[in-house]
Amino acid sequence: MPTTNPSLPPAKKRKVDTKQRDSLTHIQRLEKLLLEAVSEGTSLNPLVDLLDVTKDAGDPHTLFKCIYVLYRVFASIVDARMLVPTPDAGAKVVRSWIWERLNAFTDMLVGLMSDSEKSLRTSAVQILFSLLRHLSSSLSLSQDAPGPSASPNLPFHIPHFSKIILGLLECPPSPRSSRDRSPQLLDAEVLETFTSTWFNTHDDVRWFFLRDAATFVSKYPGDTHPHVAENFLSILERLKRFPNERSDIREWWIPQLGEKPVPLKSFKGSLADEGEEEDPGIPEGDEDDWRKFFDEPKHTDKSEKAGPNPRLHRMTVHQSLHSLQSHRAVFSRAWMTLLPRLSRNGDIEATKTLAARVLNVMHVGVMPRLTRPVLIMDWIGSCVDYGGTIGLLALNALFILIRDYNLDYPSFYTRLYAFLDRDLLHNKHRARFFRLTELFLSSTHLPATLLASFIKRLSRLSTTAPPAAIIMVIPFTYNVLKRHPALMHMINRVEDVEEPDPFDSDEKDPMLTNALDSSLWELVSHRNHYYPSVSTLAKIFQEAFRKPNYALEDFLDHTYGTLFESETKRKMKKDPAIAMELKKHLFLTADQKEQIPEEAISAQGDVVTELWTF
Amino acid sequence: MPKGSQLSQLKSALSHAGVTKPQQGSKRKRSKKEDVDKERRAAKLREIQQKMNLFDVQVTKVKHGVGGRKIKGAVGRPAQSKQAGIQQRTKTLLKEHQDKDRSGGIFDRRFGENDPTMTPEERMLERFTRERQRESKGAWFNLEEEDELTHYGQSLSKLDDYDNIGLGLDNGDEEDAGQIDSRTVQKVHFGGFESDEDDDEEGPERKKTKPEVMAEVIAKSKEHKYLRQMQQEKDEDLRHQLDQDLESMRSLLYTVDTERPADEAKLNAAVEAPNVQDREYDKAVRELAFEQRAKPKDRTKTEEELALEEKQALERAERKRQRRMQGEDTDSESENGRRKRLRQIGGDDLEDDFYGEDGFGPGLQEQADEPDEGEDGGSGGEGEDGEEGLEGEDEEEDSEEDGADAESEAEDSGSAEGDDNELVQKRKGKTGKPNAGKELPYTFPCPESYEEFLDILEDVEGEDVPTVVHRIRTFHHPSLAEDNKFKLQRLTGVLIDYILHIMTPPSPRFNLLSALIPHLFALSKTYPTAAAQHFVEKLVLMQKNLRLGLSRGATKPDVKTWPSLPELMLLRTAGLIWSASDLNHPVIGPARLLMASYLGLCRVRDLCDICSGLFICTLWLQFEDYSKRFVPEVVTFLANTLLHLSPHKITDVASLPGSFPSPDFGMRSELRLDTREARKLSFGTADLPAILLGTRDEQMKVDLLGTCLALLERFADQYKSLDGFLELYSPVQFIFAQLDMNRLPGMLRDRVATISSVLSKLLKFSKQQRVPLSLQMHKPIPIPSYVPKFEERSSNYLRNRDPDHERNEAAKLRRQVKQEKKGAIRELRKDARFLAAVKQKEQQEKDRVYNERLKKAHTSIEPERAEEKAMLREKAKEKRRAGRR
Repeated sequence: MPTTNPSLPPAKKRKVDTKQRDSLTHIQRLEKLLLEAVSEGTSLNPLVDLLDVTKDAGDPHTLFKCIYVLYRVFASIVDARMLVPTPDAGAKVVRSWIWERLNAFTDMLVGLMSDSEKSLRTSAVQILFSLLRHLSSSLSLSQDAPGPSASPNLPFHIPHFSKIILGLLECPPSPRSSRDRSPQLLDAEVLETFTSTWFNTHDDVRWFFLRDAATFVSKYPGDTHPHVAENFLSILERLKRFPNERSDIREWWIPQLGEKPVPLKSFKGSLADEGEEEDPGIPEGDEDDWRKFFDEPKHTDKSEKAGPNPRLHRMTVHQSLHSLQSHRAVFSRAWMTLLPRLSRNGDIEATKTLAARVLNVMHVGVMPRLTRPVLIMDWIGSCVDYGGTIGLLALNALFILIRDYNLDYPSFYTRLYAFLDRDLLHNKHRARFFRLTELFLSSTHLPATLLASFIKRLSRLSTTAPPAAIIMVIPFTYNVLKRHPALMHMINRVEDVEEPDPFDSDEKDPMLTNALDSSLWELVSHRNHYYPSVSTLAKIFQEAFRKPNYALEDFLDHTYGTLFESETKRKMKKDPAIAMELKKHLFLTADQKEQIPEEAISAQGDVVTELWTF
Repeated sequence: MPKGSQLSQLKSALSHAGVTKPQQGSKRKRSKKEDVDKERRAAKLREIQQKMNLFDVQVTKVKHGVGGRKIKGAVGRPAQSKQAGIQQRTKTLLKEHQDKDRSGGIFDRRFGENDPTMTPEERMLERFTRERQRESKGAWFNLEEEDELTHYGQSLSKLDDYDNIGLGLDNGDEEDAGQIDSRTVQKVHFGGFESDEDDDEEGPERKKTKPEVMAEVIAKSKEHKYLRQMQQEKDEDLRHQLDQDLESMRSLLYTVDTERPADEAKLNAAVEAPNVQDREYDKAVRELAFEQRAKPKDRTKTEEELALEEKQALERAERKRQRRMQGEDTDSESENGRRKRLRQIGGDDLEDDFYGEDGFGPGLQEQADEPDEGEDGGSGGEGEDGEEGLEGEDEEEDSEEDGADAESEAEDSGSAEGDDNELVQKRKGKTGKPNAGKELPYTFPCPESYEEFLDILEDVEGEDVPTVVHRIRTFHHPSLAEDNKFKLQRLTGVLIDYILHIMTPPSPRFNLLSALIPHLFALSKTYPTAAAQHFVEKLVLMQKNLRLGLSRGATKPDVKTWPSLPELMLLRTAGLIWSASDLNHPVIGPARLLMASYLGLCRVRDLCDICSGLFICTLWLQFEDYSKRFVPEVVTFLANTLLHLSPHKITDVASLPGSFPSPDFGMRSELRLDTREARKLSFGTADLPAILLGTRDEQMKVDLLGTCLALLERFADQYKSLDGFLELYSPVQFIFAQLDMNRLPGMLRDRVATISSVLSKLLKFSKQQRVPLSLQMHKPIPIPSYVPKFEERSSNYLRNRDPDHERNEAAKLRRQVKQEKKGAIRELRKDARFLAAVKQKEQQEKDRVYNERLKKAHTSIEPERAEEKAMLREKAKEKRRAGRR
């Protein structure tokens, strides 16, 4: 800008400003040049300048501008079919040159996904996916060009996509940050953008991500790159939409993939080596990896519906995209790759946290979608054996395995009994445990000795439990007592016994604890509990057992917080009662205490004054 | 069913029908009339016969016969009803059937055409009369063209209207001599005309027909009504007249009264004047009438009576508290509370306590009080019996609080400086100029918010704050202005805020707090609901803070989870002011839950935390002083504290006794008593603010451990009667056994030893006492019986009685529809059967005719055939003969 404006801000600021403006005009000029060059087919050399400017730009604002300019330029290049292979040798050189620039740009964007600037992070993801769309459609154009006779190419640019995956899972440091940061977790916003915009909406993106990310993760050992597996888990956790029927597969990011795949018969011969010749840099070995998983469902499938469906491991990628089985297969493989990589050597806490996260979604979000849930049996079994919170959470999945997949879990009730430890009633997930235990103990064929042990143990635990847990234990016990009248001895024993409490609390086997000959004194002492609901609830044991059953669900999800809230929300119907009289000598210092005789203090019956000085 | 044998029934039926009457006048010729009579008799006889024929009656047996009840359809005559149905069908259905394929046709509706009994002449005559009648029908109501109205054939127009009609009154007026009897009247005056020939044949006094009687009655009543109206009108006129004349009459009257000639204006004034006087007088009278009568006062009560009353009041209060503790409803309680606020009029009441009608004035009373404060100080809580009435209650508290105040003045003057810089910055400018000597103003505005209150207190010294609050309360007494009530309610909230404020570290002012609490107590007593709301607000805020702290991580050292000093003091204040033993209480309930959640959810990180926890445990002890309710969290916390503070031999969580959770076990070894340093220390009562403010030394630990031990002992005492005491306290006993006694300071060692022995005694006793539960010893549950409930209104249980009217109606309709449908189906079936029978008959008829015809034909050709055959036979014979030959 040669002319100076008199109304410019002070010098220092102006300097920065003008500099910025200079670079901006420079960028704009370059963009104009490039766009003209693309349309007229002249030299694309300013691209290098533009990339350099982008690399040097430290200011997020300029960088933001730059990446969008670059995106526009590359989009127009791709749209102008400059990357479509032609036999011309000169064009090939140009093409590889452009590819290099494009790769540089993509790498930079991948880095920007973990930038400190929020707008840069999200827009990097958006640009990457838009580019993917452009590149993929250009691929489909390239196959149109030679003619319909050639084998159909997959309109999905896998190398570009694998870079995105790298960005999402590995999270390389941003090019802008100078210091070398250790690899990190995926940014929450990027994760949110990715999952909400693409992963949960577009079936093709999900399929390719599940397929390629599993391969990607399997290349990184869990010990050295723990964050990769964690990032993968965070993405998988957020999987909301998964097709359950053929008709559910209908959203496509690359519209060309949405077309109906060519039926198998038409190119039976070219099946084996059909593939992505155009995609450089994809080793063949990775490709067929996911198909191994189809071997399993294929056996079951063949017997059921051998007719129209082609066998899965012989499908083309395009066909697989439209096949429900293959969606399930890539999903299963992704989880199977992930699960063994979650454990961290040495860091038990971190492993526990990750396992808890997995188990939280396992029985609802994962198990119904696996091709063969039995495969995760070992992992679930080890979780249950671990006990504690993890064990509690794994019980759900274990139950599904036992019920639906005929899993044989030896000495189940002994292990369940082991869950009743001192922390159970203080656990956050106790409601989940009780929901299941109610189910496990609902059979009337269980021996009374076993149930007596459970009840007695719970009543022991309730002596130290919070009111929310006691509220749960009492109806639970009531239901068991009602179902097994033999246990009524525990609250009503007529005959005389010489040893009133033969219960052995250290015994691990619920069949040997002698609980049936004991009584539930602990549970009954809650008749004096300070929380009115608990005390009234505890009185049900001394009344006639008229109620057939308590719906346990009403008592499960209480906490101190919810109880407090219900207590404060209650309307005051009448004036609350005031203390009969106000005590004297409320806050005595040590000196004051000496002056007042001891008897005077103890006579007024205020413990606080007796035990503390102020 | 009629009584008697069949024969007697028959006889009675015959006589009843009048069939058995012997034939009289056999000489009479048999006429047509007699024929008709005969027919009628025959019909009657048939009817009787049918009725008497019991073979024709079908009776449905009633299960539960009730005398006098008639049930529809219990007795039926199937043959008759069948016959009736057939007849009906022949009339309708058969007709239809016969006319089935017929169209058109003429109905002959001429009179008597289908009547075979009439001769053609009669028919013609009748038809002629009918025609004439039809023609004249239009002119029936035409009065003009009709000649005249007649009475007994005489024209009425010739009579005078009211000539001789007997109106009783008129008659009475005119002819006093005597009434002419009605017969004469009828004969001579009215009905006569000398033309009645039949008069003789009719009885001497013709009985009036009913219409006549009615007409008479109507006429009479109309007449009375008319007369009444006339009278009323006349009266009205008279009254009107009187009204009009009144003015003139009145002027006459008053001129006489004043007895002097006066002009118009004066006269008017004179008329007015007594009016005013009257009105005033009336008013005075009315006032006197409505004024409350002076009542005899209660006599002055004696000392004993007063004491007794007090004792009874206390007993009543205690009974109510007990009920609340059991969670029972106390309805009368709130009522009493309100009544208490009303002023009690005592015997010595001079009714002179309504001071302050026009503002507080120069504050005379206050000035008089001012010097009192110093002297009153020592006397503490004694109320001044002499002063009852409006201010009595307040005064009492005042003196009490003054007492506390005086103490604080004595010892705590040093802390005043500390307060100055602690208070909000607003005061900074004035701190340089001490205003101790300055006299306090007597009136203060009532603070609407906490900030305003701080503004008010800007110039006030710490120890004067209670006085200020007292003056605010007196100045804004609810009896002085309407909105004072709300002002004071807001003041409650402000005071709570202020208490929180003065409790903020680093220099909490406990003396001020204990001086302010009586005020808060009095305010809460007056406005319990408003005060409770303020308290609950604060509690909710505390709970929110706790939740926030927990979500940030309960184990992080810098997160605030345990309550700080102000919060603890708020809980303590709540426990002091409200009745803490209640089972359901709007303030205490949430406070209890909050305290329990502090103990249950917060994790121990520091000595501060242990101190807060122990203080909360003490508060629990105080809260449950009367009610002795079970708080599991407390025992858990105390056991954990013991593990934290004292040296013991337990190494890991797994070897812990009992089932209490111990998440922090072994994590905070720095909290454990340092044996070397602590050995020579002896424990005292723990100093709450000092520990909470962050001072750490071994003395504190020793103190806290001592407090913990004391609490354990007291709770053991409280819980020893629980069913589960053994399970609850045996872990504690186990920990006591595991304590490293040698490393404890000597005094603590003794204490532990005593407590341990007490505990083991209690546990042993509890074990001896332990018996199996027998909770279900009540009567066995009876099998539910489904005997119908009895209702008072009706005893009909068969009928469906739905309380919902509309549904009931709908059900009724549905039932009717169903019944009708069934009936219709039955009728249709019968119709079909009837038609089928008819058709079959027709078919049979047809067949018969056909057969007959055929037979006829056969018979006609039979002789010919016979002849033919005979001839053939002859021929054959001939042939044979010829052949033989």
